[in-house]
Amino acid sequence: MAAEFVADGFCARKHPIWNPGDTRQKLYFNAEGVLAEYGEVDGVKLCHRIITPFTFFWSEKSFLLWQPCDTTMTCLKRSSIYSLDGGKVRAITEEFGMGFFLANRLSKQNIQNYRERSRDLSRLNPLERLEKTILANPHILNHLSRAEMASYLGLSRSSLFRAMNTLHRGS
Amino acid sequence: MRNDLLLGQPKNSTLKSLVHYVTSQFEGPLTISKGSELVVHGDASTHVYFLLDGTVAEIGRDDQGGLLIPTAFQAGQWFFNLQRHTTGKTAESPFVCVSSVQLMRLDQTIWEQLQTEPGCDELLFIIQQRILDHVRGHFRRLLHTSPLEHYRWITKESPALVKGFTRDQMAAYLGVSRATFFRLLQKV
Repeated sequence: MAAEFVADGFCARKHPIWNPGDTRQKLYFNAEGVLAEYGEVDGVKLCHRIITPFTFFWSEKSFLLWQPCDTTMTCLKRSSIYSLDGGKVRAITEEFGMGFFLANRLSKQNIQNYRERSRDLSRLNPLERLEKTILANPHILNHLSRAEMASYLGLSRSSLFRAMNTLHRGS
Repeated sequence: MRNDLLLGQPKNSTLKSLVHYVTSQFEGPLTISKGSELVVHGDASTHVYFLLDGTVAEIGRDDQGGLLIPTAFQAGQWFFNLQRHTTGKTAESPFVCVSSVQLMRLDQTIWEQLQTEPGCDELLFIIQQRILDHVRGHFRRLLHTSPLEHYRWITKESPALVKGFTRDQMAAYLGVSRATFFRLLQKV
């Protein structure tokens, strides 16, 4: 499967990989860069997730739920992107007798991520959310603006700044 | 239940006979009383449930003992022990019937046997698609909408939750404190 991935080329900063309404039944691999996924509701754009270097990513709406994308995936730090078409993924998994093994694994991962994020939004205070995020991705503040970071954590900008000050004083 | 699994499938889908066979293995409709726990704390069960009526919520406690409700399911939705399914670990929080519920249940032993049948992994994928869509929608509403807008959405789209949840539980589901939720109720 790894050999079948096709280089999509370099993705420049702020360049979108998909936009709302697109169909992207593809499995992607992000090499050295950083990407972010944004959702827009009533004109307000919020950051949903960050794609760290050397990880796979996909539009769950398109690749797993077979509906048009409802988010934007944008490059935050220039990266080489590789992709594998959904049809090829299906053909390869069929050839190796894997059936829906991969689709089930990816869905499971997405369900787990959303449950975790929903739980964090419900139970963690702003400081705890910030700490957890920085612990998981120490360079995140280099790539996201403060407004984007606040939206990712589900906070107002002032709450984020207060949490950052507390964290700074604490460390 | 059958219709839900076959939704979007072509008329001559090869899944049709499998769906009929698998759904015939479900027991029910079972009526379960309010307050019963379908998945208990530390549970490793893998039964599959389809809700016909009522509301089931995953009700846990955070480190400080506060209520935590990451998911709630209503009529027409599939669920199982999500912690066990996604992480392989036992359930951290029980799945509680917040109202009297009617459901169909596929016993874990039968489900395990069925999974060796060709095509059953596709059925699991379809069930996971439904659950993913549901948990994703809840996450997006938590992130994108204010608690007041979220509560308004729930009263409009999921009135059964308003009926089933206590105010403390609704506050936990919206991710706000009890005091904030009471202030919010005055605005509705």
